[in-house]
Amino acid sequence: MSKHIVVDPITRIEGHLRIEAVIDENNTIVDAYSASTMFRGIETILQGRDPRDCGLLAMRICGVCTGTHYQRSIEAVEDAFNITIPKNARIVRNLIQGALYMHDHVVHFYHLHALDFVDVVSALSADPAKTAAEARKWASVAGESPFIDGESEFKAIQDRVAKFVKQGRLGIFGNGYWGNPHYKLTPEQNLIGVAHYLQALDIQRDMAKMQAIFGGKNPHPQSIVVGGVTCVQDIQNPARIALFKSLLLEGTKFIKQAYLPDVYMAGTMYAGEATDSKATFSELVGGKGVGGTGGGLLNFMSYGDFRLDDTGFYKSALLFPKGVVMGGDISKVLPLDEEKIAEDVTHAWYKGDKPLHPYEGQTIPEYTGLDKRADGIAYLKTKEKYSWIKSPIYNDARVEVGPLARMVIGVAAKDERITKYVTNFLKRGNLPVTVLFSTVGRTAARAIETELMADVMLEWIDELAKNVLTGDKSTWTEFDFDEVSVSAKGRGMAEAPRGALGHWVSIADGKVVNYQAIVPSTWNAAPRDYKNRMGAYEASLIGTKVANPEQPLEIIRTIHSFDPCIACAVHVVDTKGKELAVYKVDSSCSI
Amino acid sequence: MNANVALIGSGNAFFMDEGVGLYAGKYLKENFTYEPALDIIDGGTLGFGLMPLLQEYEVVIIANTSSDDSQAVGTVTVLSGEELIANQGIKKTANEVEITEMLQICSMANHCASTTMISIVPEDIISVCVDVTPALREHWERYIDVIVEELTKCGITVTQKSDVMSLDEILEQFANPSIEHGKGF
Repeated sequence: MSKHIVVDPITRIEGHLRIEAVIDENNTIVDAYSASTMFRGIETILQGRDPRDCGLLAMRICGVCTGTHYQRSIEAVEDAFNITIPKNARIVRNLIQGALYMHDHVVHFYHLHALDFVDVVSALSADPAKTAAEARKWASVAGESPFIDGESEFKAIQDRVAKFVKQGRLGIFGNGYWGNPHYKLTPEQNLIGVAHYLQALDIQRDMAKMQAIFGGKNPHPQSIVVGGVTCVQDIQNPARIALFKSLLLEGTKFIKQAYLPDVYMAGTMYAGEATDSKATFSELVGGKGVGGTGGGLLNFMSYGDFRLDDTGFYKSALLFPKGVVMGGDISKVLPLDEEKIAEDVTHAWYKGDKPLHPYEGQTIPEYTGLDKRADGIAYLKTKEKYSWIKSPIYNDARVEVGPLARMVIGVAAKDERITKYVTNFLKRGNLPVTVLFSTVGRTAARAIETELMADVMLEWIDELAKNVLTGDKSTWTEFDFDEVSVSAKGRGMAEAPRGALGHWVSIADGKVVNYQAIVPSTWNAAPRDYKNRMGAYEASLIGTKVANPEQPLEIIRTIHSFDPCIACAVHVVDTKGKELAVYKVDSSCSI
Repeated sequence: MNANVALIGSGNAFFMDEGVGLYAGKYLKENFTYEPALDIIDGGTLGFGLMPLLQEYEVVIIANTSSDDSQAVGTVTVLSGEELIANQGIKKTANEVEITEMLQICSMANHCASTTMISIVPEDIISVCVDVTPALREHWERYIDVIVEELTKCGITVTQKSDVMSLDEILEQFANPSIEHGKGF
């Protein structure tokens, strides 16, 4: 008999996300539904505002990349007003966003995702001497010396964790499915993971300082304004630039000596799942299996980001190319046509009868509720509306966005820098390119991107210092607000750490008349569309084998690989609604 | 960072009562002086993004909501970091879930501030509106008093200024931030 697994809310993520999955008698997921049970609706609050202030409000959309929403909103207004920002402003914005990518990706891998691969309890039985040797091995794969290679250091960390356990201070370590057979690392490898988890806590603190140097107020940086940036004093202060560079170099060391080696280690130990073509969505929907567990749609889209010259926001050369790759075919990249973006609300709790482009987009709530069952669990009405997330569509297809999309599109577009980093990773790890199309591949792509970002930021900080030395102190482009805001519309389409992020604004007589945002997790976590086609999360779960339905480790691992920005307890129930196990219950999801 | 103690206002200003922690932070910033110094931080919707603050300060007080249906609107709860980590906190809004998990993660760090969370039970965290419900307004002054009392326990002398910015003036700033007019969170 098939069983129905409800994961609600998924923990170690931002926001509210619920997953319902149906597994067959072999414990393989045959159907899946993704739903956000929290209404955002922030777009409605932006109508009638001065467009220059929208960023201050738009940054509250997100609990993580507040600065990215802030910047995208400002870029949408700059596009509407046809403003090109000065070189210093462009570089500073790249540095603020780049620092966010580094911080976000490191925190995601270690503090939100690593425990899906690393069994903390197993680490307690590791041999510290063997652990040191293991650390050297994986660092050498990355061409580096290890971040920690001393037996005594690993022993000290092991003792520290054992002390936590003895005192009952398990903290986040108290929530895992320890001992699940789908944990594949050896005790020594688990100890490496735990050690780097703890060290990453200190590293991420310093990465956050990088964001604050040019971001002014932190959290919620406010140094970006329509026309440029306001941190004039900071860019002219060599000590501030030197501090940024010093923090960047320390962070880069951790990325190369710990993060990358750990991803090589996980990539190798979990290669079986990552290359299991029979566990792919494409195989099960009748196509040719490409990649492995967690691969999902294999359609990727990127708006492109990080301007490399000053020819204008949509004309500039880009660090991450924009484009589309369909069906995992990296032999070609399709050009991105913005007009082909639309949002469908067939299965979302909003009114609407057809997919609409964001400029015409509407946010009119129409909540139709959950199914009510006698067992106390409220199920999604999956045949009807079942999520607060709309279903974005590109060219009448469902697509995935995020670091994997950016790396795949970069390779397909034959971008020299991205191809070098991706090829180097695969070659050093002795991994096939198809390994990317999997849960592990999505996680690896984020690590590859982090290394690339850290390296290129070193170039940018030097470029900024050099430009200021030439006497260029310009940080803001003047504009006549009354003149440009009579009737205008613009879009801020670029990337956030989690993927393609777009803000669309229509302005009349100096006020916002319509505002829509499509955030990365909308693309990835969306429900089915008007043709009943799955969203990226849903597709990624199809074919996944669950070792123990009472411990949906594999579901959480794959969903975490997207770095969801939308939080859960776990109910496992059979298809008749009988509850088999409940681990944590979020009252908002109960009836 | 100017002080050893930080007060973080936390929540979402757009969902009615969910922003009450933010308003408390702003109110305490505008209307009181502190000796020794106190850093008052707009934590906004951040969850895991607040981790660096717990690693920087000796003491952190977080003001937010506690969406506990079993308690009356306006009930104020003071919980230590240890109690929160032991899952005694209410985790309903996205922010409440993340704050608790953030504390769990930070408890593993070399340094984690001694943390206290002062939460108030909201009435409405669903309506998209920058405001505080009348029911919660009745408990506003007591909420502020409890935070001041907690700051006093930390050895801080809290003195009220003569001109007071009212809750409604605070709400107006959150509802209508303006770069041009220097109004904001």
